[in-house]
Amino acid sequence: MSGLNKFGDRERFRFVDFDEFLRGQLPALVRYAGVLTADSHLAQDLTQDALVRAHARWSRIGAMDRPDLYVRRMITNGYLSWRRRWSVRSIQPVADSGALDRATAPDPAVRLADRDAMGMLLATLNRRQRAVLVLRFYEGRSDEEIAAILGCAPVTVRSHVSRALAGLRQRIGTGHPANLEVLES
Amino acid sequence: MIDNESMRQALGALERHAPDEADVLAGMRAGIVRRRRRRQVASVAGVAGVAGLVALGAVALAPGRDAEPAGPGPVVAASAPVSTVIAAPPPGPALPFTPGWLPDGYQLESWMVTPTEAGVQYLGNADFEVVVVELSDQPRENYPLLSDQPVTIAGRPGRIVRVAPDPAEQQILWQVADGRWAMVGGRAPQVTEAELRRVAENLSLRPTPLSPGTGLSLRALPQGYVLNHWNGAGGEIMAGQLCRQVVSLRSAEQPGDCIGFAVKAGTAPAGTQRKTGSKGQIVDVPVDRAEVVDGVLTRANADGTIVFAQIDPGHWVSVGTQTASVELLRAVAVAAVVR
Repeated sequence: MSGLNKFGDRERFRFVDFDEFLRGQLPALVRYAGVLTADSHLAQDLTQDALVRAHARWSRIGAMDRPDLYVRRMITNGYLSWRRRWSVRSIQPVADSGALDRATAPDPAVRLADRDAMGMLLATLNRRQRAVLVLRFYEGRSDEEIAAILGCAPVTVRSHVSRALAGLRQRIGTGHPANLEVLES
Repeated sequence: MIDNESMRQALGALERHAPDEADVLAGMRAGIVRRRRRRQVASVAGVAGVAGLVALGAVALAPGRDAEPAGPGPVVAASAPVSTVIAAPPPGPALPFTPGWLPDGYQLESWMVTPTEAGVQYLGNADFEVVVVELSDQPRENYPLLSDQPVTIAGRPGRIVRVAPDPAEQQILWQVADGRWAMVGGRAPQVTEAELRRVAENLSLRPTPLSPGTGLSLRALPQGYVLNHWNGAGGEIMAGQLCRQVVSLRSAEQPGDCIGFAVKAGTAPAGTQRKTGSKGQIVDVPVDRAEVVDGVLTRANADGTIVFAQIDPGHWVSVGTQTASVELLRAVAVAAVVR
């Protein structure tokens, strides 16, 4: 096969079986979803939904160079979508649903559960900014990989990272419990 | 000082929110079966393999990453029949609008309906091909915009805005003939401004019934409660919320006695459920206070804020609240049916 797929990758020569993919990637995918959402229910919902969709299109996805990146894209896209804000509201009735539009933690109390100051700060970011930081700092992805996952240009990734870090700095500067400095990579 | 390594460590600490792999695999398998049934597409590959993987996953992630699931507690007693706390069943949901035009290949993916607002997400075949339509009694809240320009939709004044921080997100906002507020949104370049305009121009206020052949419904409703919202995927109802009065989803505070419920495929967890504790900590709480209601085994946690019930061999419901009584939760659980 030849040509570039949507990730800018050259399609691979060996087809990855769906079962093989799951064996190798599922642990990392659930961890990614857990870190991204800070909510095990939502993470489960997002991961299994992405896998159901991926399974339906596996003849194409399995032929990609980086099906793992593609499935992360599906998980991330689900996290950023409108639908999740609705579903979380109803499935977790104890959550502060109003906070879902403003912050990434499902419940203000969850933010308090993150005892480290950085965890609390991260929970104040909007979903896209949080996704960018998780992909950059937790997964160690390049701008190009993050751009492929988020469906935007690498320059937009850098802008998101910059805004997210600026937001963290601002919160630190306004009396958040960590009087700390955030370094850009 | 928080440097990059500290950021990594802070994010790594959130790994504790990772779901159980076996649960994910079980949910995936159920989702594949449901999707096939819904679309009636005979896919050749996968089911056998997926079924095998569920077993594999269960082995790979054996019991108790964070807590050993406890077995269900003893069945205490049969409670009073549901009829003592349940009134008439709620009507099925309907979208308050009908899209007269959608880009080629777009289909209903998910929806949410309340008495005062509704939203729908339509998906195309490719990534990020998403069109969202919302209709509400209230105008949208103010939020940061990158651009805001006037536009005319079906002869009525409106705006087309780009939403911060990502200029790719475009929305058309206008007030429809009966005074409600509509929004049609999408993400460029997958959804063009011209397509958004066409969706908006052709939006009809004729209701679209959501009459699923499959999905969650309630056979009855607790007295004094109303359906605050339904939501679902495709034609299926997946979850809902009951409150004593209609509460806007935009409200920052939800009454504590609202009751949320959701149907899930598979088998109810054996005995524990993660929950945010009163001080914000994540805890695994036993859900083992068993009681038979109307012939259905229900299980609750100690403070009565979570109830599980296996409503048929392939489905279970999760019902939760902050302050409503556990009897009501059990009643809602056993009133749930999946068609």
